[in-house]
Amino acid sequence: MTARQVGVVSAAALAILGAWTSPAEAYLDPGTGSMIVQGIIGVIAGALVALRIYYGKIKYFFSAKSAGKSVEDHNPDKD
Amino acid sequence: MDAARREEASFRDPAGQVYRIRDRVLRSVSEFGCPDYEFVRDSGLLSGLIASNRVIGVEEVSPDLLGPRASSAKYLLEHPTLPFISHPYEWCFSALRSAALLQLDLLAEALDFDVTLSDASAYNFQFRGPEPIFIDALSFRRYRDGDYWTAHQQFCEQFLNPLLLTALQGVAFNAWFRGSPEGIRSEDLNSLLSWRQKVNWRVLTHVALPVRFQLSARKNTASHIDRIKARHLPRASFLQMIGGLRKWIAGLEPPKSSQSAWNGYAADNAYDPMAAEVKADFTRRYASTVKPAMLWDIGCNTGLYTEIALQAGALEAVGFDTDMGAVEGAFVRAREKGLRFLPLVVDAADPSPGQGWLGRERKSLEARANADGLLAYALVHHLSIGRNIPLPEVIAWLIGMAPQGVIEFVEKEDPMVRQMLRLRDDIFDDYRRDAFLAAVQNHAEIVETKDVIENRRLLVWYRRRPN
Repeated sequence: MTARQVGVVSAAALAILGAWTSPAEAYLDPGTGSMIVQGIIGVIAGALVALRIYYGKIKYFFSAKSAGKSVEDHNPDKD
Repeated sequence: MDAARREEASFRDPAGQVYRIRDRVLRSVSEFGCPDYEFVRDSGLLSGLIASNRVIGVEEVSPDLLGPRASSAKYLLEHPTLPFISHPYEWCFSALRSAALLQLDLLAEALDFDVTLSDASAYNFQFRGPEPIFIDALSFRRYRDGDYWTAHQQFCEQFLNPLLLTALQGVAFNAWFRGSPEGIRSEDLNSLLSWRQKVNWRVLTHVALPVRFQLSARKNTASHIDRIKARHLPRASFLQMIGGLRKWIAGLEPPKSSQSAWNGYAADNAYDPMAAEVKADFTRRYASTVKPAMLWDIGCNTGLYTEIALQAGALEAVGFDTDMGAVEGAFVRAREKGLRFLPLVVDAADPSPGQGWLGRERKSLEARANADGLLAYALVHHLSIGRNIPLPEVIAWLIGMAPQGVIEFVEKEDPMVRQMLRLRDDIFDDYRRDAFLAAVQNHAEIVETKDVIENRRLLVWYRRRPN
Protein backbone atom coordinates (compact mmCIF):
# COMPACT_ATOMS: atom_id res chain seq x y z
CA MET A 1 0.00 0.00 0.00
CA THR A 2 1.43 3.41 -0.92
CA ALA A 3 1.32 6.47 1.27
CA ARG A 4 -1.42 7.78 -0.97
CA GLN A 5 -3.44 4.62 -0.43
CA VAL A 6 -2.96 4.87 3.37
CA GLY A 7 -4.24 8.44 3.21
CA VAL A 8 -7.30 7.37 1.23
CA VAL A 9 -8.00 4.54 3.66
CA SER A 10 -7.75 6.74 6.73
CA ALA A 11 -9.94 9.40 5.11
CA ALA A 12 -12.49 6.69 4.34
CA ALA A 13 -12.29 5.43 7.93
CA LEU A 14 -12.94 8.94 9.23
CA ALA A 15 -15.86 9.33 6.83
CA ILE A 16 -17.38 6.08 8.11
CA LEU A 17 -16.87 7.20 11.71
CA GLY A 18 -18.54 10.46 10.76
CA ALA A 19 -21.66 8.65 9.64
CA TRP A 20 -21.98 7.10 13.10
CA THR A 21 -21.36 10.25 15.05
CA SER A 22 -24.26 11.92 16.84
CA PRO A 23 -24.41 15.65 17.55
CA ALA A 24 -22.56 16.68 20.70
CA GLU A 25 -24.50 16.78 23.96
CA ALA A 26 -26.59 19.88 23.72
CA TYR A 27 -26.83 21.19 27.25
CA LEU A 28 -23.16 21.68 27.99
CA ASP A 29 -21.10 24.08 25.90
CA PRO A 30 -17.99 22.05 25.17
CA GLY A 31 -15.87 25.11 24.34
CA THR A 32 -14.44 25.68 20.89
CA GLY A 33 -10.82 25.61 22.10
CA SER A 34 -11.22 22.19 23.69
CA MET A 35 -12.95 20.84 20.56
CA ILE A 36 -10.21 22.09 18.26
CA VAL A 37 -7.55 20.42 20.42
CA GLN A 38 -9.51 17.17 20.44
CA GLY A 39 -9.94 17.40 16.67
CA ILE A 40 -6.19 17.79 16.32
CA ILE A 41 -5.55 14.88 18.69
CA GLY A 42 -7.89 12.82 16.54
CA VAL A 43 -6.07 13.78 13.33
CA ILE A 44 -2.63 13.20 14.86
CA ALA A 45 -3.72 9.82 16.19
CA GLY A 46 -5.09 8.93 12.72
CA ALA A 47 -1.82 10.03 11.12
CA LEU A 48 0.20 8.01 13.64
CA VAL A 49 -1.82 4.90 12.82
CA ALA A 50 -1.22 5.52 9.10
CA LEU A 51 2.49 6.10 9.75
CA ARG A 52 2.73 2.92 11.77
CA ILE A 53 1.18 0.90 8.97
CA TYR A 54 3.48 2.54 6.42
CA TYR A 55 6.55 2.06 8.63
CA GLY A 56 5.57 -1.58 9.09
CA LYS A 57 5.50 -1.97 5.30
CA ILE A 58 8.98 -0.45 4.92
CA LYS A 59 10.37 -2.59 7.74
CA TYR A 60 8.83 -5.68 6.22
CA PHE A 61 10.22 -4.78 2.80
CA PHE A 62 13.79 -4.42 4.10
CA SER A 63 13.69 -7.32 6.54
CA ALA A 64 12.32 -9.58 3.80
CA LYS A 65 15.12 -8.41 1.51
CA SER A 66 17.90 -8.94 4.06
CA ALA A 67 16.42 -12.31 5.04
CA GLY A 68 16.53 -13.30 1.35
CA LYS A 69 20.15 -12.13 1.09
CA SER A 70 21.27 -14.14 4.08
CA VAL A 71 19.69 -17.22 2.55
CA GLU A 72 21.66 -16.58 -0.65
CA ASP A 73 24.90 -16.09 1.33
CA HIS A 74 24.57 -19.50 2.79
CA ASN A 75 23.61 -21.26 -0.39
CA PRO A 76 25.92 -24.27 -0.55
CA ASP A 77 25.32 -24.55 -4.33
CA LYS A 78 27.38 -21.36 -4.83
CA ASP A 79 30.56 -22.88 -3.45
CA MET B 1 -48.64 11.40 51.11
CA ASP B 2 -45.70 13.78 51.51
CA ALA B 3 -45.21 16.11 48.57
CA ALA B 4 -42.12 15.78 46.41
CA ARG B 5 -39.85 18.81 46.55
CA ARG B 6 -37.47 19.50 43.67
CA GLU B 7 -33.85 19.93 44.72
CA GLU B 8 -32.92 23.51 43.99
CA ALA B 9 -29.59 22.55 42.41
CA SER B 10 -31.33 20.29 39.92
CA PHE B 11 -32.45 22.20 36.86
CA ARG B 12 -29.64 22.17 34.31
CA ASP B 13 -29.98 18.72 32.85
CA PRO B 14 -33.07 18.14 30.68
CA ALA B 15 -32.64 14.37 31.20
CA GLY B 16 -34.16 14.49 34.66
CA GLN B 17 -34.49 16.12 38.04
CA VAL B 18 -33.80 15.30 41.66
CA TYR B 19 -36.65 15.37 44.14
CA ARG B 20 -36.86 14.83 47.85
CA ILE B 21 -39.71 13.30 49.76
CA ARG B 22 -38.72 13.67 53.40
CA ASP B 23 -35.41 11.78 53.59
CA ARG B 24 -35.84 9.93 50.31
CA VAL B 25 -33.79 11.03 47.31
CA LEU B 26 -35.51 10.47 43.97
CA ARG B 27 -34.45 11.19 40.41
CA SER B 28 -36.91 11.49 37.58
CA VAL B 29 -35.99 10.48 34.03
CA SER B 30 -37.67 12.66 31.41
CA GLU B 31 -38.78 11.73 27.93
CA PHE B 32 -35.55 13.36 26.71
CA GLY B 33 -33.35 11.30 29.02
CA CYS B 34 -35.25 8.05 28.51
CA PRO B 35 -33.37 6.51 25.51
CA ASP B 36 -29.95 7.16 27.10
CA TYR B 37 -31.10 5.91 30.49
CA GLU B 38 -32.47 2.68 28.99
CA PHE B 39 -29.32 2.16 26.93
CA VAL B 40 -27.03 2.65 29.96
CA ARG B 41 -29.22 0.55 32.25
CA ASP B 42 -29.24 -2.34 29.78
CA SER B 43 -25.51 -2.03 29.01
CA GLY B 44 -24.58 -3.64 32.34
CA LEU B 45 -22.13 -0.84 33.18
CA LEU B 46 -23.83 0.52 36.28
CA SER B 47 -24.15 -2.68 38.31
CA GLY B 48 -20.36 -3.12 38.47
CA LEU B 49 -19.74 0.52 39.34
CA ILE B 50 -22.42 0.46 42.04
CA ALA B 51 -21.11 -2.81 43.50
CA SER B 52 -17.62 -1.31 43.82
CA ASN B 53 -19.07 1.77 45.63
CA ARG B 54 -17.94 4.17 42.91
CA VAL B 55 -21.42 5.14 41.73
CA ILE B 56 -24.36 5.65 44.06
CA GLY B 57 -27.04 2.94 44.08
CA VAL B 58 -30.03 3.24 41.76
CA GLU B 59 -33.39 1.54 42.15
CA GLU B 60 -36.41 2.03 39.91
CA VAL B 61 -39.55 2.96 41.84
CA SER B 62 -43.03 3.98 40.74
CA PRO B 63 -43.23 7.49 39.21
CA ASP B 64 -46.58 7.84 41.02
CA LEU B 65 -44.56 8.82 44.11
CA LEU B 66 -44.12 12.23 42.48
CA GLY B 67 -47.89 12.86 42.74
CA PRO B 68 -49.09 15.47 40.24
CA ARG B 69 -45.60 15.62 38.70
CA ALA B 70 -45.62 11.90 37.89
CA SER B 71 -46.65 12.50 34.28
CA SER B 72 -43.34 14.29 33.54
CA ALA B 73 -41.29 11.22 34.52
CA LYS B 74 -40.83 8.16 32.34
CA TYR B 75 -38.92 6.53 35.17
CA LEU B 76 -38.32 7.36 38.80
CA LEU B 77 -35.08 6.27 40.45
CA GLU B 78 -34.31 6.16 44.14
CA HIS B 79 -30.82 6.69 45.56
CA PRO B 80 -29.61 5.89 49.06
CA THR B 81 -29.09 9.02 51.18
CA LEU B 82 -25.59 10.29 51.96
CA PRO B 83 -24.32 11.24 55.41
CA PHE B 84 -23.38 14.77 54.37
CA ILE B 85 -23.32 16.92 51.23
CA SER B 86 -20.02 18.75 50.74
CA HIS B 87 -18.94 21.17 48.03
CA PRO B 88 -15.72 20.74 46.00
CA TYR B 89 -14.28 24.05 47.23
CA GLU B 90 -14.44 22.65 50.75
CA TRP B 91 -12.26 19.67 49.83
CA CYS B 92 -8.54 19.39 50.35
CA PHE B 93 -6.14 18.72 47.47
CA SER B 94 -6.14 14.92 47.91
CA ALA B 95 -9.94 14.82 48.01
CA LEU B 96 -10.33 16.80 44.76
CA ARG B 97 -7.61 14.68 43.16
CA SER B 98 -9.32 11.43 44.15
CA ALA B 99 -12.62 12.68 42.70
CA ALA B 100 -10.81 13.71 39.48
CA LEU B 101 -9.25 10.26 39.14
CA LEU B 102 -12.60 8.59 39.74
CA GLN B 103 -14.19 10.79 37.07
CA LEU B 104 -11.55 9.63 34.56
CA ASP B 105 -11.80 5.98 35.61
CA LEU B 106 -15.59 6.03 35.23
CA LEU B 107 -15.25 7.53 31.78
CA ALA B 108 -12.63 5.02 30.63
CA GLU B 109 -14.66 2.07 31.93
CA ALA B 110 -17.88 3.45 30.49
CA LEU B 111 -16.37 3.63 26.99
CA ASP B 112 -15.96 -0.16 27.06
CA PHE B 113 -19.74 -0.34 27.32
CA ASP B 114 -20.29 2.29 24.60
CA VAL B 115 -21.27 4.75 27.29
CA THR B 116 -19.83 8.23 27.91
CA LEU B 117 -20.31 10.97 30.52
CA SER B 118 -22.14 14.07 29.36
CA ASP B 119 -20.57 16.37 31.93
CA ALA B 120 -17.70 16.55 34.39
CA SER B 121 -18.88 18.60 37.34
CA ALA B 122 -17.02 18.11 40.61
CA TYR B 123 -20.40 18.74 42.27
CA ASN B 124 -21.44 15.33 40.91
CA PHE B 125 -19.18 13.74 43.51
CA GLN B 126 -19.77 13.27 47.19
CA PHE B 127 -17.71 11.59 49.88
CA ARG B 128 -18.52 8.73 52.17
CA GLY B 129 -15.77 9.10 54.72
CA PRO B 130 -12.71 9.84 52.57
CA GLU B 131 -13.98 7.81 49.58
CA PRO B 132 -15.49 9.64 46.60
CA ILE B 133 -18.71 8.44 45.03
CA PHE B 134 -20.37 9.60 41.81
CA ILE B 135 -23.98 10.63 42.37
CA ASP B 136 -25.38 11.66 38.99
CA ALA B 137 -26.67 8.51 37.28
CA LEU B 138 -28.09 10.52 34.38
CA SER B 139 -24.68 11.85 33.31
CA PHE B 140 -24.12 8.51 31.59
CA ARG B 141 -25.10 8.71 27.92
CA ARG B 142 -24.76 6.54 24.88
CA TYR B 143 -21.36 6.82 23.18
CA ARG B 144 -20.65 6.48 19.49
CA ASP B 145 -17.10 6.02 18.25
CA GLY B 146 -15.74 9.38 17.13
CA ASP B 147 -17.74 11.47 19.64
CA TYR B 148 -15.84 14.34 21.18
CA TRP B 149 -15.36 14.46 24.93
CA THR B 150 -17.82 17.31 25.34
CA ALA B 151 -17.02 17.64 29.04
CA HIS B 152 -13.27 18.12 28.57
CA GLN B 153 -13.36 21.86 29.20
CA GLN B 154 -15.59 21.39 32.23
CA PHE B 155 -13.25 18.71 33.54
CA CYS B 156 -10.37 21.17 33.26
CA GLU B 157 -12.23 23.97 35.02
CA GLN B 158 -13.66 21.82 37.80
CA PHE B 159 -10.76 19.47 38.47
CA LEU B 160 -7.54 20.00 36.55
CA ASN B 161 -7.14 23.77 36.88
CA PRO B 162 -7.76 23.95 40.65
CA LEU B 163 -5.29 21.08 41.14
CA LEU B 164 -2.71 22.78 38.90
CA LEU B 165 -3.16 26.08 40.72
CA THR B 166 -2.17 24.35 43.94
CA ALA B 167 0.44 21.93 42.57
CA LEU B 168 2.22 24.35 40.20
CA GLN B 169 1.65 27.72 41.83
CA GLY B 170 1.44 26.72 45.49
CA VAL B 171 -1.90 28.47 46.04
CA ALA B 172 -4.74 26.62 47.79
CA PHE B 173 -7.61 26.47 45.29
CA ASN B 174 -10.41 26.73 47.86
CA ALA B 175 -11.06 30.49 48.01
CA TRP B 176 -10.99 30.91 44.22
CA PHE B 177 -13.15 27.84 43.62
CA ARG B 178 -15.65 29.06 46.20
CA GLY B 179 -15.86 32.42 44.44
CA SER B 180 -16.39 30.72 41.10
CA PRO B 181 -18.70 27.69 41.29
CA GLU B 182 -18.17 26.93 37.58
CA GLY B 183 -14.52 26.31 38.41
CA ILE B 184 -11.24 28.00 37.56
CA ARG B 185 -11.29 29.16 33.95
CA SER B 186 -8.44 27.99 31.76
CA GLU B 187 -7.69 31.51 30.50
CA ASP B 188 -7.28 32.69 34.09
CA LEU B 189 -4.95 29.85 35.04
CA ASN B 190 -3.09 30.24 31.76
CA SER B 191 -2.25 33.86 32.47
CA LEU B 192 -0.69 32.85 35.80
CA LEU B 193 1.63 30.26 34.29
CA SER B 194 5.15 31.06 33.14
CA TRP B 195 6.22 30.15 29.60
CA ARG B 196 8.38 27.39 31.07
CA GLN B 197 5.34 25.85 32.71
CA LYS B 198 3.43 26.19 29.45
CA VAL B 199 5.94 24.32 27.32
CA ASN B 200 5.10 21.18 29.30
CA TRP B 201 3.37 18.95 26.76
CA ARG B 202 0.35 18.31 29.00
CA VAL B 203 -0.12 21.90 30.12
CA LEU B 204 0.05 22.82 26.44
CA THR B 205 -2.60 20.28 25.43
CA HIS B 206 -5.09 20.84 28.24
CA VAL B 207 -4.60 24.49 29.19
CA ALA B 208 -2.54 26.71 26.91
CA LEU B 209 -3.64 25.49 23.46
CA PRO B 210 -7.39 25.31 24.19
CA VAL B 211 -7.17 28.91 25.46
CA ARG B 212 -5.25 29.99 22.36
CA PHE B 213 -7.72 28.27 20.02
CA GLN B 214 -10.71 29.57 21.94
CA LEU B 215 -9.43 33.12 21.42
CA SER B 216 -8.76 32.67 17.72
CA ALA B 217 -12.09 30.89 17.23
CA ARG B 218 -13.92 34.10 18.13
CA LYS B 219 -12.95 35.38 14.72
CA ASN B 220 -14.03 32.21 12.98
CA THR B 221 -16.88 32.03 10.55
CA ALA B 222 -19.80 29.64 10.89
CA SER B 223 -18.31 27.37 8.23
CA HIS B 224 -15.08 27.11 10.21
CA ILE B 225 -17.05 26.09 13.29
CA ASP B 226 -18.90 23.49 11.19
CA ARG B 227 -15.55 22.10 10.06
CA ILE B 228 -14.44 21.75 13.69
CA LYS B 229 -17.70 20.00 14.56
CA ALA B 230 -17.25 17.63 11.63
CA ARG B 231 -13.95 16.32 12.98
CA HIS B 232 -13.86 13.35 15.31
CA LEU B 233 -12.03 11.90 18.23
CA PRO B 234 -11.58 8.17 17.60
CA ARG B 235 -12.14 5.92 20.59
CA ALA B 236 -8.45 4.93 20.83
CA SER B 237 -7.38 8.61 20.96
CA PHE B 238 -10.10 9.35 23.50
CA LEU B 239 -8.83 6.55 25.75
CA GLN B 240 -5.25 7.68 25.32
CA MET B 241 -6.23 11.23 26.28
CA ILE B 242 -7.98 9.99 29.44
CA GLY B 243 -5.07 7.70 30.30
CA GLY B 244 -2.56 10.54 29.90
CA LEU B 245 -4.62 12.88 32.06
CA ARG B 246 -5.02 10.20 34.70
CA LYS B 247 -1.31 9.54 34.93
CA TRP B 248 -0.58 13.26 35.12
CA ILE B 249 -3.17 14.02 37.82
CA ALA B 250 -2.21 10.98 39.92
CA GLY B 251 1.32 12.41 40.07
CA LEU B 252 0.27 15.95 41.12
CA GLU B 253 1.11 16.77 44.73
CA PRO B 254 0.40 19.79 46.90
CA PRO B 255 3.63 21.82 47.20
CA LYS B 256 5.96 20.97 50.08
CA SER B 257 5.91 24.61 51.17
CA SER B 258 2.21 24.26 51.96
CA GLN B 259 3.06 21.82 54.75
CA SER B 260 1.58 24.31 57.14
CA ALA B 261 2.48 25.37 60.61
CA TRP B 262 -0.58 23.42 61.71
CA ASN B 263 0.61 20.15 60.34
CA GLY B 264 2.04 18.25 63.24
CA TYR B 265 0.46 20.77 65.60
CA ALA B 266 -1.26 18.02 67.51
CA ALA B 267 2.03 16.16 67.90
CA ASP B 268 4.24 18.99 69.19
CA ASN B 269 1.64 21.14 70.82
CA ALA B 270 2.34 23.37 73.77
CA TYR B 271 0.98 20.87 76.26
CA ASP B 272 2.41 17.69 77.58
CA PRO B 273 1.45 14.07 76.79
CA MET B 274 -0.40 13.82 80.12
CA ALA B 275 -2.70 16.65 79.06
CA ALA B 276 -3.26 15.03 75.69
CA GLU B 277 -4.27 11.82 77.45
CA VAL B 278 -6.76 13.71 79.65
CA LYS B 279 -8.31 15.16 76.49
CA ALA B 280 -8.41 11.77 74.79
CA ASP B 281 -10.06 10.19 77.84
CA PHE B 282 -12.71 12.88 78.03
CA THR B 283 -13.40 12.51 74.30
CA ARG B 284 -13.81 8.75 74.70
CA ARG B 285 -16.19 9.13 77.63
CA TYR B 286 -18.31 11.65 75.75
CA ALA B 287 -18.43 9.69 72.47
CA SER B 288 -19.15 6.33 74.08
CA THR B 289 -22.00 7.82 76.15
CA VAL B 290 -23.64 10.00 73.48
CA LYS B 291 -22.78 7.82 70.43
CA PRO B 292 -23.43 10.62 67.92
CA ALA B 293 -24.71 9.44 64.53
CA MET B 294 -23.02 12.51 62.98
CA LEU B 295 -20.22 14.22 64.83
CA TRP B 296 -18.97 17.61 63.71
CA ASP B 297 -15.43 18.42 64.77
CA ILE B 298 -14.97 22.15 64.32
CA GLY B 299 -11.27 23.01 64.25
CA CYS B 300 -10.42 19.37 63.65
CA ASN B 301 -6.75 19.96 62.76
CA THR B 302 -5.36 16.59 61.62
CA GLY B 303 -8.29 14.68 63.13
CA LEU B 304 -6.57 13.10 66.15
CA TYR B 305 -9.57 13.53 68.45
CA THR B 306 -12.07 12.84 65.69
CA GLU B 307 -10.45 9.45 65.31
CA ILE B 308 -10.66 8.84 69.05
CA ALA B 309 -14.37 9.79 69.06
CA LEU B 310 -15.08 7.50 66.10
CA GLN B 311 -13.34 4.59 67.80
CA ALA B 312 -15.27 5.26 71.00
CA GLY B 313 -18.75 5.22 69.46
CA ALA B 314 -19.42 8.09 67.05
CA LEU B 315 -20.76 6.61 63.79
CA GLU B 316 -19.78 9.23 61.26
CA ALA B 317 -17.80 12.47 61.41
CA VAL B 318 -17.24 15.62 59.39
CA GLY B 319 -14.35 17.86 60.40
CA PHE B 320 -13.67 21.50 59.61
CA ASP B 321 -10.47 23.47 59.61
CA THR B 322 -9.32 26.62 57.86
CA ASP B 323 -5.97 25.23 56.89
CA MET B 324 -5.55 23.01 53.87
CA GLY B 325 -2.37 21.43 55.25
CA ALA B 326 -4.19 20.33 58.42
CA VAL B 327 -7.17 19.04 56.45
CA GLU B 328 -4.81 17.24 54.09
CA GLY B 329 -3.29 15.49 57.12
CA ALA B 330 -6.75 14.59 58.43
CA PHE B 331 -7.79 13.24 55.03
CA VAL B 332 -4.72 11.01 54.88
CA ARG B 333 -5.46 9.81 58.42
CA ALA B 334 -9.07 8.97 57.47
CA ARG B 335 -7.91 7.09 54.35
CA GLU B 336 -5.13 5.14 56.00
CA LYS B 337 -7.24 4.11 58.97
CA GLY B 338 -10.49 3.59 57.06
CA LEU B 339 -12.39 6.11 59.21
CA ARG B 340 -15.87 7.34 58.34
CA PHE B 341 -14.51 10.83 58.56
CA LEU B 342 -14.58 13.62 55.98
CA PRO B 343 -12.38 16.62 56.83
CA LEU B 344 -13.19 19.86 55.01
CA VAL B 345 -11.58 23.26 54.51
CA VAL B 346 -14.06 25.66 56.12
CA ASP B 347 -13.50 28.80 58.17
CA ALA B 348 -15.82 28.81 61.19
CA ALA B 349 -15.83 32.62 61.11
CA ASP B 350 -16.98 32.59 57.49
CA PRO B 351 -18.89 29.37 56.79
CA SER B 352 -19.85 28.43 53.22
CA PRO B 353 -22.73 30.62 51.97
CA GLY B 354 -25.65 29.69 49.73
CA GLN B 355 -24.54 30.15 46.12
CA GLY B 356 -25.46 29.81 42.49
CA TRP B 357 -28.87 30.49 40.97
CA LEU B 358 -31.10 32.35 43.44
CA GLY B 359 -28.39 31.75 46.03
CA ARG B 360 -29.87 28.31 46.62
CA GLU B 361 -28.20 26.08 44.05
CA ARG B 362 -25.31 25.24 46.38
CA LYS B 363 -26.54 25.15 49.93
CA SER B 364 -24.90 27.03 52.77
CA LEU B 365 -23.17 25.11 55.53
CA GLU B 366 -25.97 26.12 57.89
CA ALA B 367 -28.58 24.59 55.57
CA ARG B 368 -26.57 21.35 55.48
CA ALA B 369 -26.05 21.16 59.25
CA ASN B 370 -27.02 17.72 60.53
CA ALA B 371 -24.81 17.09 63.54
CA ASP B 372 -26.02 15.48 66.74
CA GLY B 373 -22.61 15.64 68.35
CA LEU B 374 -19.90 18.30 68.47
CA LEU B 375 -16.23 18.69 69.31
CA ALA B 376 -14.74 22.18 69.39
CA TYR B 377 -11.20 21.87 70.69
CA ALA B 378 -8.79 24.80 70.77
CA LEU B 379 -11.23 26.81 68.67
CA VAL B 380 -12.96 29.41 70.85
CA HIS B 381 -9.86 31.60 71.29
CA HIS B 382 -9.28 31.67 67.52
CA LEU B 383 -12.77 33.11 67.02
CA SER B 384 -13.03 35.28 70.12
CA ILE B 385 -9.51 36.69 70.22
CA GLY B 386 -8.21 35.98 66.71
CA ARG B 387 -11.32 37.28 64.97
CA ASN B 388 -12.87 39.53 67.63
CA ILE B 389 -16.19 37.66 67.71
CA PRO B 390 -17.88 38.21 71.09
CA LEU B 391 -17.50 35.14 73.32
CA PRO B 392 -21.26 34.68 73.99
CA GLU B 393 -21.92 34.65 70.22
CA VAL B 394 -19.27 32.04 69.60
CA ILE B 395 -20.73 29.81 72.33
CA ALA B 396 -24.33 30.30 71.11
CA TRP B 397 -23.26 29.35 67.58
CA LEU B 398 -21.42 26.23 68.71
CA ILE B 399 -24.21 24.99 70.97
CA GLY B 400 -26.70 25.67 68.18
CA MET B 401 -24.79 23.15 66.03
CA ALA B 402 -25.53 20.03 68.04
CA PRO B 403 -27.59 19.02 71.07
CA GLN B 404 -24.55 17.61 72.93
CA GLY B 405 -20.88 18.28 72.61
CA VAL B 406 -17.56 19.20 74.15
CA ILE B 407 -16.07 22.69 73.95
CA GLU B 408 -12.55 23.57 75.07
CA PHE B 409 -11.77 26.90 76.68
CA VAL B 410 -8.15 28.05 76.48
CA GLU B 411 -7.31 30.71 79.08
CA LYS B 412 -5.23 33.83 78.45
CA GLU B 413 -2.43 32.29 80.52
CA ASP B 414 -1.97 29.53 77.94
CA PRO B 415 1.08 30.05 75.70
CA MET B 416 -1.07 29.73 72.55
CA VAL B 417 -3.28 32.64 73.57
CA ARG B 418 -0.35 34.62 74.91
CA GLN B 419 1.29 34.32 71.52
CA MET B 420 -1.86 35.59 69.83
CA LEU B 421 -1.86 38.65 72.09
CA ARG B 422 1.85 39.33 71.87
CA LEU B 423 1.56 41.93 69.13
CA ARG B 424 -1.81 43.40 69.95
CA ASP B 425 -3.60 45.15 72.78
CA ASP B 426 -5.59 42.94 75.09
CA ILE B 427 -9.07 44.34 74.46
CA PHE B 428 -10.70 41.10 75.61
CA ASP B 429 -11.72 41.76 79.20
CA ASP B 430 -14.72 39.46 78.81
CA TYR B 431 -12.58 36.53 77.74
CA ARG B 432 -12.58 34.70 81.09
CA ARG B 433 -13.44 31.25 82.37
CA ASP B 434 -16.47 32.47 84.38
CA ALA B 435 -17.84 34.37 81.37
CA PHE B 436 -17.34 31.28 79.22
CA LEU B 437 -19.20 29.04 81.68
CA ALA B 438 -22.01 31.58 82.01
CA ALA B 439 -22.35 31.70 78.21
CA VAL B 440 -22.60 27.91 78.04
CA GLN B 441 -25.18 27.81 80.82
CA ASN B 442 -27.28 30.33 78.95
CA HIS B 443 -28.14 27.64 76.41
CA ALA B 444 -27.22 24.32 77.98
CA GLU B 445 -26.66 22.26 81.06
CA ILE B 446 -23.13 21.33 81.92
CA VAL B 447 -22.79 17.55 82.10
CA GLU B 448 -19.14 17.44 83.10
CA THR B 449 -16.04 19.64 83.14
CA LYS B 450 -12.40 18.73 83.23
CA ASP B 451 -9.18 20.69 83.48
CA VAL B 452 -6.83 19.57 80.74
CA ILE B 453 -4.15 21.71 82.37
CA GLU B 454 -4.91 23.40 85.68
CA ASN B 455 -6.07 27.01 85.12
CA ARG B 456 -5.09 26.94 81.48
CA ARG B 457 -7.36 24.66 79.51
CA LEU B 458 -10.87 23.51 80.39
CA LEU B 459 -13.16 21.00 78.69
CA VAL B 460 -16.92 21.43 79.04
CA TRP B 461 -19.42 18.75 78.04
CA TYR B 462 -22.77 20.47 77.47
CA ARG B 463 -26.29 19.24 76.88
CA ARG B 464 -28.48 21.81 75.12
CA ARG B 465 -31.74 22.80 76.77
CA PRO B 466 -34.79 22.33 74.57
CA ASN B 467 -36.16 25.75 73.55
